[in-house]
Amino acid sequence: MAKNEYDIAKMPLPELEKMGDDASVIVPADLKEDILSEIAASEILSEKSVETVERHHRRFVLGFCAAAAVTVLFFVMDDMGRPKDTFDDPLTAYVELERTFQYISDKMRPGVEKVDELSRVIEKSGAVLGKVTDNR
Amino acid sequence: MNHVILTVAMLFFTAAAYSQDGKDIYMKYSGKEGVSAVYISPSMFKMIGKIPDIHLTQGNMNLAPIVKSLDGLYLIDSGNSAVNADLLSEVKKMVSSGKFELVMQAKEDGETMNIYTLDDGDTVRSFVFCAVSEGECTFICLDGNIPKAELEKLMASAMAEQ
Repeated sequence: MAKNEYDIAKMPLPELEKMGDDASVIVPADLKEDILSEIAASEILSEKSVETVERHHRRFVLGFCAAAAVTVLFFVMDDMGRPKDTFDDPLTAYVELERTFQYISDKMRPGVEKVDELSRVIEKSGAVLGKVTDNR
Repeated sequence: MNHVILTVAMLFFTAAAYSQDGKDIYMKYSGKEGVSAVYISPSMFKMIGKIPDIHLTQGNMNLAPIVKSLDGLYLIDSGNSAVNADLLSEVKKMVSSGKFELVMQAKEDGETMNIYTLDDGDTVRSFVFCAVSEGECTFICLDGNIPKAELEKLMASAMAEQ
């Protein structure tokens, strides 16, 4: 800002009125038009920024609703695709469950037994090595 | 508007890329020829859990501690060679999603057995068993929030039975 403009900005109103009445002060010819067009431009800009914010809000809400709708649809479809229980009676279902666990453990047993055997061998070897190192 | 369409399209792709689970494999193969299938739903597990002293009436294995934590049992037992190869491929796809851990593999007498678990800390969210031999393929999937310690205790007691 120029020094004069800065001083004018700080001046109280009665002094500004006195300056306005002073005929020796030269007023630019197109000052009024400039001021009016500045006011009009700032009004247009403020309308546009409100419109932009409203547009962003609309987009966000639409996007959120679309995402929510897709998620709900996905879960509904997933639920609709559930198979039917094989058994009607919980006791029969329990027997089948027990058979299943027994089957799994029977299949696991050979592998687990081999690991147990190996760990016994490692333990024995460790004990023998311990004796050898102690005797030295 | 274009952004909304793009977002919805991306969500659909995400849904499409949703990985397979035990239910999907069960639904695909349960109706095929030469295939036996068993499904126990979360509701049925709740009913099983309400039966008083069930472990005292049926065998020596005590499943009571984990029954209430089970959400589903999917069992496919196939004697159909055409189905077996496809089923095995689907199981491999399921467990290779990166979240499953191979906890045991055993090969004996021409049979290969694999056990995978999907863990969440001290909880097993999914237990997958797959055994393949000449002409037969068995797939078992247990879903739920199974305490790891309880599952290990159960397996140990089942193996000690014999």
